[in-house]
Amino acid sequence: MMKNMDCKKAQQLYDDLAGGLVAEPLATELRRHLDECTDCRVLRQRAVRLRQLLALKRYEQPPPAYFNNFVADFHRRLEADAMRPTWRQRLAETVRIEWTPLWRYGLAGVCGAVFALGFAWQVYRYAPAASPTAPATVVASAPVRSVPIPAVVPVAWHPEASRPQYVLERIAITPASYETASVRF
Amino acid sequence: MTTLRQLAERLKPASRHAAAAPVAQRSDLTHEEDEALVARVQRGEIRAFDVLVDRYKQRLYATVYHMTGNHEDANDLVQDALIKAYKSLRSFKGQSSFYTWVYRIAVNRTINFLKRRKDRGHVSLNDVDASIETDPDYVELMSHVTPRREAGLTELQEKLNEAVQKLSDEHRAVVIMHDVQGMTHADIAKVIRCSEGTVRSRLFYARQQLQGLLSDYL
Repeated sequence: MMKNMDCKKAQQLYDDLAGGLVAEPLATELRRHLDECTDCRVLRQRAVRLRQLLALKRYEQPPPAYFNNFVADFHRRLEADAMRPTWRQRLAETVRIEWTPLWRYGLAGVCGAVFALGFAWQVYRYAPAASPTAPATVVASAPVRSVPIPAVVPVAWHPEASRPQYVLERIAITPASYETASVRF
Repeated sequence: MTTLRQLAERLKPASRHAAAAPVAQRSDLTHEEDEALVARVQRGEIRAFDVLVDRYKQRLYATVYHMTGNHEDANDLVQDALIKAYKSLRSFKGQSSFYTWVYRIAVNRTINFLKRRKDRGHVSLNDVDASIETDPDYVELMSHVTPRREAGLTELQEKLNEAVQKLSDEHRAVVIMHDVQGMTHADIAKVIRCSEGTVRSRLFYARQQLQGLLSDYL
């Protein structure tokens, strides 16, 4: 048997108690709780009266003879519903009406696509070939090793280096300061 | 009516025995059980469906009316629900009773309708049956010493409907089915396809809200 039933639990069981759905040990405990707890007793009275009030709505009836033509009205509506085109018929009708513009739009779209493809092909065909001097693609996977460059590189240090050539050495002329005087005064 | 015959033909299952079934008059069918009537409708006898409509129209109307608070809407919704039931009867497998099934269609249609309806619409009160005056609940309610004791029946009806319309659609449906129509928690759970616990919970919160709204009359 449940001891010290709390009020919230009791409130949730009022309905079942009224309907005789609460098993006996619990029902006795619930009744005892209602006897002892004034708040719950008041709440239960209010709940019962609310149910009585709501039950009065059963007496709200439509005007007399309201249902006399109900079945006939049902048949009228059923007939009207059967006359209504199904969604397949509506779709077929829509497509039939809208077919010409749809066809035109489709053709225009196909023409546009063909033109765009032709243009793209021409652009691809006459595009300049890749230049051999173009920088090679950097392979990202290969690590780049930096080589320190000295500030002054000695020429002789280079294995293919030769003695520097000067322009004046190739011309068989003598500098003016070394000429002998050919004119005598 | 040719159209109705065509519709009935469309509903006929591909049964070899269907054609051999005798067509009974409507008056002969009134004592038949729902299952038998449903079987007849599935064989193409529309008169059997008329009997089902006659049998449940008032209960369906009452529920939908209490949910919408409007005559015209209630009538339209019940008719729509019955048409939908008739057209879908071929798919009815009998897992629940016909009444629960058609009730579910009507309640779902009503809830969808109420969700679509932006405003609450006007409430058109049904006439109250004169026998209410002798109802012990009514006598007891009116005999209570409350500040509103002198409230007339019409005022009480208006306040009651106003309060019910303030509930959410789901809560209102549960209150109407349980407290007005007298359905059990289990039946309501079958109709709205939820657990009995959900039904109890919705009832509890809806009643709390109603107690606040109708405190002058309790």
